[in-house]
Amino acid sequence: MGYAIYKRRKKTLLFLTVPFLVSLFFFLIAVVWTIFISFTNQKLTGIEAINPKIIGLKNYLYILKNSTFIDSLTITANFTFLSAIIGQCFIGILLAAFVRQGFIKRPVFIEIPILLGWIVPDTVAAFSWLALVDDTGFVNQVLSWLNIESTGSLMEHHGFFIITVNNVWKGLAWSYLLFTAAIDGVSREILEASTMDGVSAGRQIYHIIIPSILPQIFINLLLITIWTVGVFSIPYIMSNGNPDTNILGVFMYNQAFASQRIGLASSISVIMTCIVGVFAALYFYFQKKYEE
Amino acid sequence: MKKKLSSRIIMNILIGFIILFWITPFSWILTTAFNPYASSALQLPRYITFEHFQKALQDDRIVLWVFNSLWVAVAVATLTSIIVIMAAFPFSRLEFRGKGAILWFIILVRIIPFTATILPIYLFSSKIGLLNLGGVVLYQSVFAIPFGVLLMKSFYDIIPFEFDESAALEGASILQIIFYIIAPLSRSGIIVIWFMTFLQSWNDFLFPFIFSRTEAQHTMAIGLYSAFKENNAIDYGLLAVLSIIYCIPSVTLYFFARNKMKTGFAGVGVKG
Repeated sequence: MGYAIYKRRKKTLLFLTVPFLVSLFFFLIAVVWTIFISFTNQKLTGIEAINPKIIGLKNYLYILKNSTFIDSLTITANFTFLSAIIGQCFIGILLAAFVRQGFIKRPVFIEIPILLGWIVPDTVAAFSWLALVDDTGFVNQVLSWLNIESTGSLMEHHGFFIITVNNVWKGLAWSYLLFTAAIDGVSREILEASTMDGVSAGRQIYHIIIPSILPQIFINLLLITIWTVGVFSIPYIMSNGNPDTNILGVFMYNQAFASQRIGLASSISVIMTCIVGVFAALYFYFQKKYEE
Repeated sequence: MKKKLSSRIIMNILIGFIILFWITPFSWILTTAFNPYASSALQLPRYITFEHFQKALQDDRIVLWVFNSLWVAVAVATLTSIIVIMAAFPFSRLEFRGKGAILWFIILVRIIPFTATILPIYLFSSKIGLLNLGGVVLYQSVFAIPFGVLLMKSFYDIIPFEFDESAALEGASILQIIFYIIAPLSRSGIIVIWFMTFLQSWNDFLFPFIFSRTEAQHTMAIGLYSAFKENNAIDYGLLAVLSIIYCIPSVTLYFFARNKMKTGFAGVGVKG
């Protein structure tokens, strides 16, 4: 009976959603148009900018044979695995579990720093990190205290490592908060009883905590994987065009705006969307499954 | 729970390491901003100076960046909130065909990375003259609205139908019901959406980077980037001061909303 009063004014009501639906539609068009451009030789300037020709699958054939692209895929995969799956998800579970197990008495002390990393603008995160890894920056200061000879510009030689660690620094808060909320459902009594019986902390995490928050772990893994595949800003600001920070987002941007090959860049976008799409499909599948 | 001494020590070292690791960039920013001999090194200033702050406040460009960022973020947050207040209503109060599909679609918009759809949006905008801050406002709103609708719907859902019904019996129109009854009752939801959208826009790098290329249209993110990226002799003091100014909204908001953020978090990740 609930919405009976709106029945006869249904059309008026739906009218309210028009701007929203327009924006959804716009999004859909953007996706479809990306696919279309990826089949053309569209450029940013010149004749091909005004009159792009349809060249079929040529962009895809070219890009899949291009060794820089394959490298970029590998870098993105490593970046995602190390920074999202290990760095954010795994460490997030451990920290949340330590708090629940009583190892960390005052969680607020780690929460505030971790969350600050999460909320600062990308530009600030990138530039403050650039200062830290600068030739005279903090990292080199520490290295010289430890009497380790620095090997020139850190960003140039260890770029991949730096953007990976940076992404953990930036993103851990999300997983930590999510798992803290999930672990709240794990009974403290069970944990205490098992400690009495001599179960070690590691086994508690493996046998009690992880099984009881498995749905959240799955869903979080998929979400952060999707987001990490699409990362652009911080690696772009931090990198100086060194090849080992060339993740997919940066590679695509450079193809589109530096090399001006929009068609080619679109095919990279489509491939990116397909990769993300697989994870998104899994996400929806698990979401449905756990809701039932 | 009593823990063994050795594991307590290991854990404390671990916590100490985590805290140090996370606050190092912030300590660099804070010490450098007041350091007369600002450099990329992390060092305590010998004496405290405000010259970098003075320099920043006297710089017209920086005032312009703050102003641009501010009006864009306010416009995006307000536009998004108004659309969301209205658009979420039918999703909460009506059963109609395609509702499930649209809600499903919302989550899709939220999780497909921007980098995947930015190219056609760019081409389209360059054709119709939207390569400016107006375009930034438009696109940031487009991408903020779906999640806002989802969130607003969950706030509307807990308001009983009887409220609408009695208002309708008194002869209120639909817009009156929304703006005089339902929206005021869910003002905490509106506040959350407004500030979240504001922050997203204020912190965003990608959209202004691609759409507002001219100097008069730089936002904080792009101003910082263009001032410090292609420059070999970086003025680190100024960089630190600008970072502080740029971080003020998000950090302030965080300390205001810290507890609410934590309690409201359980559902967010799982429900999209």
